[in-house]
Amino acid sequence: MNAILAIARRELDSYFATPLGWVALTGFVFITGFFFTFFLFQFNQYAVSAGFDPYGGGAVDLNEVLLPMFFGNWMVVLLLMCPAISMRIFAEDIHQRSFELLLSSPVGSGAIVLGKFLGAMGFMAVTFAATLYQPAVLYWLGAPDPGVITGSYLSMLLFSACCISVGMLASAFTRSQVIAFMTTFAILLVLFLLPGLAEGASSDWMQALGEVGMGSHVEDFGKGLLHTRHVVYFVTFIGVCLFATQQRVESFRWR
Amino acid sequence: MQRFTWILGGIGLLAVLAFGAHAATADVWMVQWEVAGGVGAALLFVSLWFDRESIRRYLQSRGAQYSAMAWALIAVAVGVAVAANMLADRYDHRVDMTASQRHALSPQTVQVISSLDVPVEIHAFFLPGVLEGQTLRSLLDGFSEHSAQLSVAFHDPLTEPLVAREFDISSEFGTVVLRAGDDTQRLESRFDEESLVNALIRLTSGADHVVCFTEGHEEIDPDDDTSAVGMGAAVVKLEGQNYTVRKVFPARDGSIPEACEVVVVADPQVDWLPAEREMLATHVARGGSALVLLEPTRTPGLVADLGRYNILMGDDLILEQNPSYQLVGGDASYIVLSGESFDFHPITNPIRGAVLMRVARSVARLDPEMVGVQVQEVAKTSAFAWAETEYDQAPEVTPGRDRLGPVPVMAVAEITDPSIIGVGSTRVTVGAESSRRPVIERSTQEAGGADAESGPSDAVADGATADSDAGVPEFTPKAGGRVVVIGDVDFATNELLDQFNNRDLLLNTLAWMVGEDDQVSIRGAAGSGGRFAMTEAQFLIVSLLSILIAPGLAVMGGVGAWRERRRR
Repeated sequence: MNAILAIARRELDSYFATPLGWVALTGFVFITGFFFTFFLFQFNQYAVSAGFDPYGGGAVDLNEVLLPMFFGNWMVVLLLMCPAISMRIFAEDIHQRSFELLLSSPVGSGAIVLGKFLGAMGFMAVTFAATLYQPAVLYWLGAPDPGVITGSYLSMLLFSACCISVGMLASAFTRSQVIAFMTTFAILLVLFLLPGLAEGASSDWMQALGEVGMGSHVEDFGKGLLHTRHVVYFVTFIGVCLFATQQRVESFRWR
Repeated sequence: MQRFTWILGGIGLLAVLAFGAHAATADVWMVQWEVAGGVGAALLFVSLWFDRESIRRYLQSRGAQYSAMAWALIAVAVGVAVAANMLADRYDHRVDMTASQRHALSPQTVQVISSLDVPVEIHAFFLPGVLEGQTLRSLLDGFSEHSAQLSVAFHDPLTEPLVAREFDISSEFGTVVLRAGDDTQRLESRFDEESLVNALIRLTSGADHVVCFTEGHEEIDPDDDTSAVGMGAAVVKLEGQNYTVRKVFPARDGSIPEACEVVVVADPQVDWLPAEREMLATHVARGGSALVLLEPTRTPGLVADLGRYNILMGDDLILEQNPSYQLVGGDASYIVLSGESFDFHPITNPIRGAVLMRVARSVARLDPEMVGVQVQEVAKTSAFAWAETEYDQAPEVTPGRDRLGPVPVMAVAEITDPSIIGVGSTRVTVGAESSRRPVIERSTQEAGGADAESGPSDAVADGATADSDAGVPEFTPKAGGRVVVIGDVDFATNELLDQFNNRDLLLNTLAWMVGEDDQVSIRGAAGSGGRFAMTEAQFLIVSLLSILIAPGLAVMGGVGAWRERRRR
């Protein structure tokens, strides 16, 4: 356990020791801040005009209109950010030949994978924490439901965890960070679009394939609903990706 | 030749994969795809055959064995994950994390669903990807959890035309059909919780209840669904819950139709004729129900006649002094009833929130000793309110004249002995302006043994007198009539019906009056709003914070880290 935490801490520190981490953090805070201001302005206009309509009040609820719209755009940003964060996790070590050093240490490949994953997730948590002023602003202006906000943040954290785990798997297969980035982005894009593609299909296979995509599992969290099937999906998705990564890392030992 | 076999193998693999994808998604296999699959398999086989030596060498290597083991383990992990997801999908459980439980079904919905005693099928017809269909699916998932009698099926009307034809589906915008045996109910516009529950009630209750709104005395218009003072919104709710709403004009019709289970007297401006009051009494005496909603100063004759049901309606105006029971921004005439305001009664027991009334008058039990009619005061104000009798002057508590809080604003009467009402035997005397107190005088011989001393006898009658000697048609007295009197009508109007639990108070009252006790509950929660309006200054602050300050702090952090590294 100590080894896992030590690797995680080293990984987390490495993000803040390089420009990549700070650029990613600043970019995320800026883009989400821009979206936040933009959607807040739009919602305000909408709410004010609906205020004069005695029958339009029910539809103007920031929990049902503003927050899903806002966090829906987070996913698009994360589709780009997570590959950028995860591309270097193994590819950099393999490229710099420091991976052999890590493997020669008395730490299991599972601990290495888990430690690096926790480090990357720690960075994502710090990034998300930097946006907490946004819910604070919403509390200042209106009355957001804490369950909806908690669910939305939880879903973004799980979504990021999925993206990072896919990125780690891709990173473990190449020494090129660019290839790792592009591969991860392509896989995530397919997974992101799958539910939309499956919606128009009639066959059960396509419907089942749509369930593999992440978007449909995020939606309910954003409404403040916690479904056990969505939790199981995220846990198993992340688990399978990390396990496959561990198998890949383990393969370096017997090559 | 062997140098190019991997190309053949690659093409073959792609063809086989394409065939597999087609086979998985297509309803009808096409010959071209079968040929492609066959050719692909042949190319793959040829490729493997030519490379068999190198494949054999690879398979015998240590790396291949480890690799095979790794892939096998990964395949097992994927299999476990798929199985876990299938099980989780089948035994899904959801938790509503919202503070207001906005996704939880309302108690009334749960009550209606769990009390289903016949199998009900819900067939939803939506095109794929339609938002309403997705929302409905989530809602019906919650429905299914509460009853094994309920089955839900979603259909695409384009790919399942036979099913669509069976249910006569023509709308492109979604249709929901509820079926129990041969009976069906259709929804074609609204697919929310309330609409579904109402349809379930209509489908399974098997009986229509008739509610009659009186007219001819400038009552609140039940057809008016646009102005603030109408009751059209209430009628829409009632019709959604299996009630048929009619209008009756007793003076013109000559009687209150027997089909009317409940007569609603919604704040008449013009007083009722004595004959009309007899018709109302006849209706109650034969087991019918009456809901009387009256604002202060209205119809002294009708108010006085309520005495025969042992209900005293004060000629006063209730003013609330306790800030906890006042509406923020409203004056003392706004009354918020909640918690201990309600007495234990089927109408008010389920109400956990508040009821908002405006410009109300007191409604109390007249004679605690009276037999044949059981009266209960079910809603009262706080102890800090009082009923101002001199309401045309500056409000001030006058001990001895004004009723002090808690002031009752709603009373229910159940008639156990119809003869106590004394149909056709009542002399109603409108009280003098000085006393503002109705007086009831009742003769005993026609009252069938009723208590002759019911009603106040201490008041002085010096006003106009009206003899109710109208010809009362013969009827069979029946116990069980119910009279509910509320000293306010605003709570049921379009303006206030959806505020707080006003809707629940009205619908619970009517459900109790017609004996539909399983409908007495709290209806689906309306959206809590959550809207706001930003000022220019607020928008500027938010913009600066989001686009400048927060990213700026991140940049400063980066620069600080960079300088720290350089310093080292």
